[in-house]
Amino acid sequence: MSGTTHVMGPGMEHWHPNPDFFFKPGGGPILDMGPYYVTNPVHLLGPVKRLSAFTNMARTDREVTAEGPMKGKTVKVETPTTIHGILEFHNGAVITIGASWDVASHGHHNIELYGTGGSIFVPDPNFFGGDLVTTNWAGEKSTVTPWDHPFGRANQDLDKPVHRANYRTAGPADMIASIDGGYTARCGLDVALHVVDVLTSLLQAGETGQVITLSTTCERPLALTPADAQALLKA
Amino acid sequence: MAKTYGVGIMGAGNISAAYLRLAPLFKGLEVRAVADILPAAAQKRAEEFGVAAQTPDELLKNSELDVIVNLTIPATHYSVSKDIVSAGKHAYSEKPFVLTLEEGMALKKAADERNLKVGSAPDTFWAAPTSKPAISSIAASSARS
Repeated sequence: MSGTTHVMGPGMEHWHPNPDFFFKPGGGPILDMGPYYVTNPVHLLGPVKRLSAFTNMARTDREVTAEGPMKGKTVKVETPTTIHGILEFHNGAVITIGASWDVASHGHHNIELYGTGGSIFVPDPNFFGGDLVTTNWAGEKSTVTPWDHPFGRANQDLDKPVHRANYRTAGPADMIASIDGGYTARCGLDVALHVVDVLTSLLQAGETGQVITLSTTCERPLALTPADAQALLKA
Repeated sequence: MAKTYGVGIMGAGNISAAYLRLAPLFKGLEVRAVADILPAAAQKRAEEFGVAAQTPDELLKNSELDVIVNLTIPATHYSVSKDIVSAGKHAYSEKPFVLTLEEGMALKKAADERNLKVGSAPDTFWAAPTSKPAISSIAASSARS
């Protein structure tokens, strides 16, 4: 089994009023957006065993064009803005990850998974909801019939062409429910720690050229069924 | 009747509006206060959503809060979450919850010692990719790999 995850775009200085922290150590596309693009595969495939990466930056200075106090000012880039890595999971899956703020446009799906039964295009992990598309070996696409998941129901931008589902606070609600519920929170510390290990190891691999075997691991988090999600919501 | 956990929001920036707007959908928790190093930012969000505005220090000491959601900038996620745990409260952080593995291990130790939870975003993709059809599709393909 293999796949790709891509989170690439022109950067943050065009829309965020205070974008300087994005370009400092601890920022960068891999620490900013990578959590979505590593955590989602860890939920689907389990933990990562080892990885490698190469990194670079297209520009050392970025001009802020977003409206706000920083407009017209220049931000010094102090962390890689392009990271290409390869993750080998404990289950044997090999996943390529591309994270960049140096890309005008591209043609990759957010997350693609390739199995012997076909391919799966996973929707944008930065949003609740979205279509899940599969293909068979004939290349025929089909959209998995959306199930009625409480966190997939559109509740935002209902007056715009693309309706969004947004249920932020689901994480804290799950963490709180896990305290008295006696289960491991889906957003718990061990998963988060493993993901940070993956993200920082990608940067370290980019610096050193080494293949890094991760020192952390985690259980694959529980799936959140519609009934589980409904149990977190008020009636 | 299960306990309702009091929740505080640390950091009144962009994303705090989403948490404050959507938190009332969830049971078992109630957002009671918001804090920011900029008092005006906390005040604005507090008025917008009908919760108390506090200083960061007041939020940490607020006895009505069991959980603090850390929406500060990534550079301060670790130190703020450490303060939250040290204040005896559960912490939930926006991503990335720490910037180094060492910080993460230290936070884990501090939380474990006090029997407190630390959680981290993202929670966004729970509805679609963990759906039953997705899991069975992946299971079907990986079984043959």
